[in-house]
Amino acid sequence: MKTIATLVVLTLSLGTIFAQNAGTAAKKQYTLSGYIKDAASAEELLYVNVWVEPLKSGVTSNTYGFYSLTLAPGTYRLTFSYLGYQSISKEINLDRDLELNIEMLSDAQTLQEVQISDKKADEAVREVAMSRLDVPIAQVKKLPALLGEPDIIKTIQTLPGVTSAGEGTSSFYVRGGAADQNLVLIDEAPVYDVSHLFGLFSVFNADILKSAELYKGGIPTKYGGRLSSLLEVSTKDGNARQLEAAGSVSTLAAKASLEGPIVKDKASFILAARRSYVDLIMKQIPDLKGTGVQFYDLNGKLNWKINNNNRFFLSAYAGRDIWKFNDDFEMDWGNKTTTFRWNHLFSERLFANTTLVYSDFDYTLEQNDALEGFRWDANQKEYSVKQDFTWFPSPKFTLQFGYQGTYRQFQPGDIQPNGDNTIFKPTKLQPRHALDQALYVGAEQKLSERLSMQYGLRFSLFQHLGPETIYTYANASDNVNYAITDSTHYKKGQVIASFANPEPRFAARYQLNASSSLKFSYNRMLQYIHLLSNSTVPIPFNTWSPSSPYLKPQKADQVAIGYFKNLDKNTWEFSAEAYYKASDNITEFADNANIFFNEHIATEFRQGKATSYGLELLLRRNVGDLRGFASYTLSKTDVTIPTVNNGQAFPANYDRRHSFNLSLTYDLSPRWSIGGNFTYATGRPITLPTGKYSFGNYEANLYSGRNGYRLPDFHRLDIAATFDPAKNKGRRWQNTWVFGIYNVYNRQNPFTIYTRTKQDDEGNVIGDGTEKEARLVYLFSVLPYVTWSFKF
Amino acid sequence: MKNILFALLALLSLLACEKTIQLDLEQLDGVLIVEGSVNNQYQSQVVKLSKSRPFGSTGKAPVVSGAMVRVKDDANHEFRFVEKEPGLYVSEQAFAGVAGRTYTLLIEAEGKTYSASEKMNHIVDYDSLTYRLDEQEMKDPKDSARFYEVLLYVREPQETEDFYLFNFYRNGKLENDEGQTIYFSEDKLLNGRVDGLPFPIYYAAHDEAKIEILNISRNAYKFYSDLAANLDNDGGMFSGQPANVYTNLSGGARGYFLVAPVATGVLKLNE
Repeated sequence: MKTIATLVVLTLSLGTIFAQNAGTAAKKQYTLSGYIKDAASAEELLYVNVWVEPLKSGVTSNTYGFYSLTLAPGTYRLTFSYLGYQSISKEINLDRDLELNIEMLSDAQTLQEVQISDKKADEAVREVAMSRLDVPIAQVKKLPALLGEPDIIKTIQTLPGVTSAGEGTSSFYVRGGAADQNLVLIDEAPVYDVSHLFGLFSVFNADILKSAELYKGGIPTKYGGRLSSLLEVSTKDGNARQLEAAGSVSTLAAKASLEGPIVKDKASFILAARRSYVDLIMKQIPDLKGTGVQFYDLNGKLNWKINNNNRFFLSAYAGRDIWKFNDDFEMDWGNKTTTFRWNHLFSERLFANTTLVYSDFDYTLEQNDALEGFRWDANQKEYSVKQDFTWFPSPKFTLQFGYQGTYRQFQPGDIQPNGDNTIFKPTKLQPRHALDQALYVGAEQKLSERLSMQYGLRFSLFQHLGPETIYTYANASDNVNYAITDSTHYKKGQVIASFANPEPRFAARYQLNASSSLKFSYNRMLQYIHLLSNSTVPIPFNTWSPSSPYLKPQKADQVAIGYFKNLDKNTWEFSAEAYYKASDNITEFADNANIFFNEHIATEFRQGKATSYGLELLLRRNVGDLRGFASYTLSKTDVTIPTVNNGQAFPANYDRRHSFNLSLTYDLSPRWSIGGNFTYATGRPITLPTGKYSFGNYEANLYSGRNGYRLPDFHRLDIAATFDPAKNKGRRWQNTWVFGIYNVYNRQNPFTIYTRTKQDDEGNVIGDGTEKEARLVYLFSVLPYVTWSFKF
Repeated sequence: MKNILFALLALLSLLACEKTIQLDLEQLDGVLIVEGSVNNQYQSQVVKLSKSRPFGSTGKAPVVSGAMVRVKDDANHEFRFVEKEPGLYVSEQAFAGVAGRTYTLLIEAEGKTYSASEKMNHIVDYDSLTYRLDEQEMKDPKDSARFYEVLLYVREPQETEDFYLFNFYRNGKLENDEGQTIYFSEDKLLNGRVDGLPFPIYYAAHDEAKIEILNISRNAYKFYSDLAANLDNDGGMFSGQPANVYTNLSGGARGYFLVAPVATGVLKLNE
């Protein structure tokens, strides 16, 4: 605990020093700062480009919509530009510190008449960051979606460098990393299970999202804790100008949201709810009485902007899946998150952000039966405090630094009998605890007009804490005959294991000319918590484990180089990136590991190495009637785990050699727009039997290696048309129809292959029961859908 | 956990389709498969030897003849086995396994040697069986006339860590869903009282119901749980990655040498 106190004091005092510096520095220079927001809703805009002439230099607004520029006195021309918005130019005479809040008009608000401006977003070329992709939320809604439910995760799965395990799953795999190596944040709170209906849909209600950014590499020092990626999802602040209601009805779910001002321009709220109604349909079927599947999501957010110096924000999310079978078995799971944030300006040049985060994931399985009834609960909770500072001493130099502390609790399983005549006894696995801390500092520096760099260090400290009893095994890597030789009990708060690591990060951009640049990045990432899953796609009943005496932290080093080029006055963005990633202590499991309710799960862990490299090409058009992207990824990921696959390297479960995606929307007229997706990927690796043998009347499969085969290639085309009845234009009441077809040419895309005793269609065994057959499972045939949405 | 995966697959089956496909698979040489056991009954103990074969092959497994098979215990007894039928080896003399003793199987077949060892556990305290009519099943029986439930009463010792394998018989025939279901359990969640646990199969009037409860080792439990996972695997999508079943045989053979006492309960349905 002393360590934390020291770190906190250190961070806070650093902040104070900078605050004082900023305040007392000789006034040779002045600071121009403010927030940039949407003119209609007063919603803050992130990553807006602020270009300063004649300096030929610029900054971008931060994740809270704040920008700050410190310049010598003089006259400057500032251009604010942002994708999908009209650019704004302003002449400023800087003779004192200035506060300049900017409101920007979106193309939509101007009825798409304004498309061309002299300064289009050339941010992709100009920014130092690479391997970062924003998900265009507005476009996602026009793209075809499974059962008419727009889903950012499904769009993310089509981005270069990202693969999926198959359709109908919400897991994604970034640059050869596993599904648990992605940090998914909603308003800065981590979401541990992003899937509804086992992955058919994600937990993100597209109607409430403001932005989604995926970092595949070059991850800023501010973030850590996962090896492969960061997906930062921000929800809308709520319209601070006028009350607005919206809703939609799709084949699967209904959604409604309400947002509006509490105090005009000062305080606003947004509330959103989404509910699937498969269960309501199922209720009508007598055979399915007591059986139902449903999910819901609730989002709420409050904003209070007292002034530019103090802004408060409270955001909460809760979502759940509830499955019932014949009234006697129920399973449910979900996430709950809460974020409280205070943005404070110590001075025009020192921006501070204090955040408190709570996140909880839990699941319950409940069986009602006099003898075999039970209730099984598992959960994990975390409580975080983050103190972030951004210091803007000059337009050439920005410094970010801060502290993050997280206390984690894991309850891997607690079984309570609930029958009158039960055969079970109450049984609980030991809860586990950990304290996760990090100090970071990161600078962005413009060395010349051509060369900019980001560099910094994150120092992370992870402590596995008591109370817990740790066993000593004669052979911890033998999951059958491990033989407990000793046990040590640790008291509450006592450190069981401690891991400290520096995580250097570096990125550089060299501008070749006005429309092209070269970039390089290196980062080291550490991951201290591990998902206990040995399947390809995690299921909601997987729990997490802290790093412990038997589980080392996972570590990855990644280098990437990139070429960025904008064409035709920034109408087209092109990028090519190549990366190489080496990971250590990747967490895998023994063959046939028992990962559920296993007190000695330590004996099932197997850690090894992974190497991944690839090339990613992206061509994107973000303006005009035709928008969308084409992406191609060539990649390879090999895993080597001692004792698994006889210690030989094997392709990762989600390794796909080629992947190609084309995603386009086209506005035919003010009333009609069309969208289409085409996706192609090499089939995922799969382990198939190389023989079989008889034991009793059982026929077991014999395997000779892991992932030695591949499923057939995956490809699919989806189309959608969006209709906006024109008479609504300009009116407050607006409604939209989306008609779509999923899997237009009815491709039977392989989901998996399993084997069984040879059977006929009714499930009767054919022959003497020694014959086996392989079955290819494919999910969605051609599926039409309709979605109706409204807004007023 | 298996139930949940079944439920999930049931849901997916609403959306999913499937078809039988032919796989182009690597062909490997057959390995020796051992199915041997020693129990606590005074009888000829049995060891079966066969070979693995290609996944798509038809017909019974090829047997391994002419092997030398012996079982030794840790009290200096040695039992020789003779080939009664091709691939079927039985002990020359009847013998019963003794609780607490370790038995070692030694095989010499086709120029190679194989071995496995396992210790005999204490027998489980089997109590009684009863039966009752299941009215819901009677309304809509899966098999006509089979709507009687047989209930098991047993005391599970709480002071020891135990693992069980259950065999259910109907009129002397082993019922395990035609080789697709294995009934096994560990005791870590059990409170010791099993009062009226229904058999997983239904019976008709005048049937003879039989249960065998084998108190197996931790290794044997691992073998059966791996075997169940091997039979149920969905291709590694939601279940774990497909993998070979645990074996206690050394020398590259697969299968299992099971040393376990068996408690048997028989009930004749009189209605």
